[in-house]
Amino acid sequence: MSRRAFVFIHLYVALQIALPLTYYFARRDKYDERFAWRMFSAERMAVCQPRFKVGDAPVTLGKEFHEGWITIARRGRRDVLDAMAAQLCTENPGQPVTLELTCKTADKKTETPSAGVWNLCEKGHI
Amino acid sequence: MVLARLEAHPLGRRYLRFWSDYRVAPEVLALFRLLFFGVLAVDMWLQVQHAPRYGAGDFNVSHLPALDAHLPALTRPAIAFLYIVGAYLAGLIAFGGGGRAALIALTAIDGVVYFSSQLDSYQHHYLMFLVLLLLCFVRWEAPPPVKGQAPPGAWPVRLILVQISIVYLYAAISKMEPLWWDGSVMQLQVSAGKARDLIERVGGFSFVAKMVIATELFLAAAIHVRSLRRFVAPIGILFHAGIEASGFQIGLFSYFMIALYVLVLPEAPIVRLVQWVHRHVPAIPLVTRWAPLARPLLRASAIALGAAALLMVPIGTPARVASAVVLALGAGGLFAVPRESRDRHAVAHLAGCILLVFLTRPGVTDVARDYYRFWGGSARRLGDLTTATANYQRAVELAPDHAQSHVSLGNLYQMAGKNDLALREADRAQLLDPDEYRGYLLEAIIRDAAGEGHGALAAADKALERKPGERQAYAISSRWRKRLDMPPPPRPSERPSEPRREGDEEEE
Repeated sequence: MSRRAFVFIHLYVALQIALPLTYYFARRDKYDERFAWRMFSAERMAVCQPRFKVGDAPVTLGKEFHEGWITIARRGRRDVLDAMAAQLCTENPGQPVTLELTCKTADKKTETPSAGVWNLCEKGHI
Repeated sequence: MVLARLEAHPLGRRYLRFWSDYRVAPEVLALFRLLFFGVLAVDMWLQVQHAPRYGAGDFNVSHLPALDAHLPALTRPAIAFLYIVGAYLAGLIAFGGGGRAALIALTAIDGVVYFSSQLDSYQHHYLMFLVLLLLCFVRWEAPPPVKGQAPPGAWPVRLILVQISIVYLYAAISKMEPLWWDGSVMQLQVSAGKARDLIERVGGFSFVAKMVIATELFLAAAIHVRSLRRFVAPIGILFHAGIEASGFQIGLFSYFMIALYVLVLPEAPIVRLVQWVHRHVPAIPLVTRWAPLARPLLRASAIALGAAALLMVPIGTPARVASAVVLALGAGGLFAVPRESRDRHAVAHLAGCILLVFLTRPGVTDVARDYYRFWGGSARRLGDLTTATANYQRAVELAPDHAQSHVSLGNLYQMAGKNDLALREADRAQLLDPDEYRGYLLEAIIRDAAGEGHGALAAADKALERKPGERQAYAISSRWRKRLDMPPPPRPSERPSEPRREGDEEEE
């Protein structure tokens, strides 16, 4: 086996072991299970309800974003919810954008990752 | 330095042999290539229908958000084009053409499309990218034997197996929590009635949930233990066939995994099978028998015919551009592969194109129809009714027997005030699927808006017969019964309505 192959193999394996570990030790979003091989996990069964408001007016997500993104938002993924908030901020300059996010977990508990208090245009993320 | 130190130690030598002494018969690789890339070609074609969601509403979040500001977001035509070219390349490789260059191109396309957007968050698509990346290093053909030297090892295949072990290990770790142990998560996930019955008979959800974890841990370890290898493929294939039968919405994941298990099947029968096929079905029966001068002409014809066949893919501009690119790729491939492989490349090119055209036929997949339906649905929700109507018209043209497309088109006509056209579509939908409520509901909405009380009431009641308690039909029926002094319709039951599932929406 060549030296290059030896180095490649070990870098690859180290990366593939480390990347899923970030889910358990470094990620702030438990609903973001990408690259962690958490197929069929309990978190995947959570159903979230995102309610954005621009000022006091509720946002109809279906008119702003494609259904595919709304599906991911309903899984509670923060990356996507943050990006949605950023887009709403850009489209409505000067107006506060808030998000109330409630999630029903697989064991029927209700969580509120975002209570709809912060202006996401100022805070930048949930 | 590290290598030398490892070589000096008995355990180190054993560890190095783990990587360097792993061998796979070329016949096994040939069967694996046919199955794995065949499934990949189908998968890539199936993804074409989701292309309209890319770039819709000028919104995207990639898997690498740090790059979002620097890279252009891919939109519908680019994604459709890349998937079509990807499906062609996968078919080409499945049939033994293209060589390493085609594999690298396919891996690049797969990576670009996957990482460009979180819209594709299927973990198995990420796994397939990793497997493709490793397959780029595989030596597909057996090298000429050198006297006194062992053939080179297949460390990339070993690395693929290690990758599969990592996947199983983390998949098992993610399930080690009370909700999985007691089977309640699995109860939510298994949708197929037969699978649920079988699980109850086998020992219940709690028992099967624990068995899933045990199986994943067993497969993660046993795939590398020589004495256990003979059990790995049957258990792994059964495991993934079981997952497929359980009704999970996981695309072609089970088929990919089953194809990967070819790598650990007992070699001897596969070698005999592949050699038998090679003896009885020569790879290039059409070309090698022709006179040498005719061969370049035949190769060129195969390349041109394949690319021309792709013009039959009914996806508009992306397919036409893909056809031109496939022509260039097919012709370029003749020079990229070794001289002795050119005939094989030409035939594989033709076969790859034919496979793709076969997949586009309405009787085989609904991808072309759904491409336009999903595009239409997306445009409608984002307020572009002209684009939406044009796309639903195309969907109806491609699949005139699909009732839901007529309903969606009728809805758009109704919104545009074209009631005659809308009624025509409602009528078609009712004829095509008389047991479905949507065609009658559409008629009720049109007649209600036009003030045709009796007609609206009759259609609404027919919709309610087919779907008791349907909210809009109930409202129309109640309103007109009140105006016409008729008794109200039976109240809808308290039973929760089934999940919203409009046909013109993207389905996950």
